Amino acid sequence: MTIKEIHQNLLNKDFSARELTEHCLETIKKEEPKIGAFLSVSDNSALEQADVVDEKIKQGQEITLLSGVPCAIKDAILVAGQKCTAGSRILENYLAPYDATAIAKLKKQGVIILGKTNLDEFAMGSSTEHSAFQATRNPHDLTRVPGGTSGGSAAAVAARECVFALGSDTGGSIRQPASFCGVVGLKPTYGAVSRYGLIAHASSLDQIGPLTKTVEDCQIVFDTIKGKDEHDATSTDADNPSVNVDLKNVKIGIPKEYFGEGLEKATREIIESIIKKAEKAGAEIREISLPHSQYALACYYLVSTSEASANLARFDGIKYGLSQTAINLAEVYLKSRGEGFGSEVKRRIMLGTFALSSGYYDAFYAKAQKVRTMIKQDFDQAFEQVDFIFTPVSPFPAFKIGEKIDDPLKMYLSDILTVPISLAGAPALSLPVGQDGHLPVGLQIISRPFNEKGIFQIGQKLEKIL
Amino acid sequence: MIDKKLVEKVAHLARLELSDNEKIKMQRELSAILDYMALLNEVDVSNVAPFYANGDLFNITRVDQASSLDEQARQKIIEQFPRQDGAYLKVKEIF
Repeated sequence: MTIKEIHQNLLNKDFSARELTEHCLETIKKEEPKIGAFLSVSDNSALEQADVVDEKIKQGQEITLLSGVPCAIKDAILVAGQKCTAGSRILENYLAPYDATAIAKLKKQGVIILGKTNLDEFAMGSSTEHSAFQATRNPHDLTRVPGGTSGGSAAAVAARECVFALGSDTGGSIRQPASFCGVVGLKPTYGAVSRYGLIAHASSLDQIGPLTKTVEDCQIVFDTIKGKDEHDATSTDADNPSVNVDLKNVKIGIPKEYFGEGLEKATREIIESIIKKAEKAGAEIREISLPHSQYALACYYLVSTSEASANLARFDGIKYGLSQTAINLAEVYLKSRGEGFGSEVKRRIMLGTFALSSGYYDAFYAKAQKVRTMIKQDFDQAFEQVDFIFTPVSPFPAFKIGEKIDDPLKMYLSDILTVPISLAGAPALSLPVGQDGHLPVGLQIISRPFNEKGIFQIGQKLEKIL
Repeated sequence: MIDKKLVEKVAHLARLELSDNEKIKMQRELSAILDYMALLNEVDVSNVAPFYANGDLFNITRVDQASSLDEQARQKIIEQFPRQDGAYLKVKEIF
């Protein structure tokens, strides 16, 4: 059921918010032994929130579109009073003291928060296997990963344990799991949604965004959480003027670099067939080039790890989180961090610290920042010619659990089609457009910064012609 | 390129305690990752400015003044100090 349908059903008293919440909690109870999407479920507070909505309906008060809609939140986003682990031992018992801005905005609308979802530790990974607590399985094939890092959120939506979920995307962490699990996922323009209350991974890239069943739902959630926030200096209210976008009046760019070697045949065929359908519906299709995209992955893993190494310096065993006893202050740092962080997080802190260290800074971090400028310019130039860019989200569908876990570089390469967009700060939506056997395949719809509205319009047109 | 000494130096800068096994693994994995990063050597960046920020974000400032925190949030933060003395955070001596 979509958010609008739920709203109508609540108004018609076809079911109550409590009944809907109980239904989700039952689904969670039934599915979780197989899927493992949730790290924590808060039955009581969810039912209390539902009762508040039901009381309003009973009294004939107006309710908002999202009132009584049950959702799940990635466990890197703070929900006051609930545990927020970031999938890490170092925050295993950490209780969030306040709400993230995105959460405060959702709560104001009366959403029901069912619980917190699994992720790769500190949102570092591509499969959710790097969670310190559990693996999450893909609802379409339990032997495969749900993608990552918002794998718990994507799996929870796909398994119908919730109506929508929030995730976060640094290099593909909403789009890739959305693609693997066959749901809609939006990485908003950098700055569109406040990062306040999101546990920081790489601050020049991180964005909170929705994972939903339909594009319409995605737009409803995005419109609720977006906007300038005094707690995040990089957030803005920028919004493109509303233009009615139809497939008949748009130019769609197809970057040849995203259809090269490494793209699986079935994925290619599915994406090419949707491009043909868009063309048939009247869109002008143009081959374009984003020539520096081949350097994006190397650039991304230098920029993001450098920022992460600085961001994760705050986990020092002093203020909160795991704290090891030791004989002196330096030992507290070394032992708390050595014990509390998992292998992928340590690897990235090491890589980032190396890239920023004296003697290597110019060759690695500074070089990557210059390449980032060139990648961004590629996109700026492309959007002078076209309105949207279509690419696959991932070169392949969901892979097997364990397949890439022992080879970090191989795991990194699964982000190759999503990281360039993150570096450019542009918005991108993953739309489920087909299946390779039983495995979902997502189309990535990219547009110029702050044109989420246009992406939603095109996405909804495409949903109708699939 | 990455030897054990460099791994130890970087680990110290990052304040990470690594076991001997972790050091050996880290040396191998970082070497493989940095070999891949060498791809960037192909790009001529001689006239390119480093990336600064997306959009027109520039020097966003706010008034430098203390703001008060909701009492409940304050209590939750204090309760989670690993070591405390009343409402104070207690740390090990530095020297």
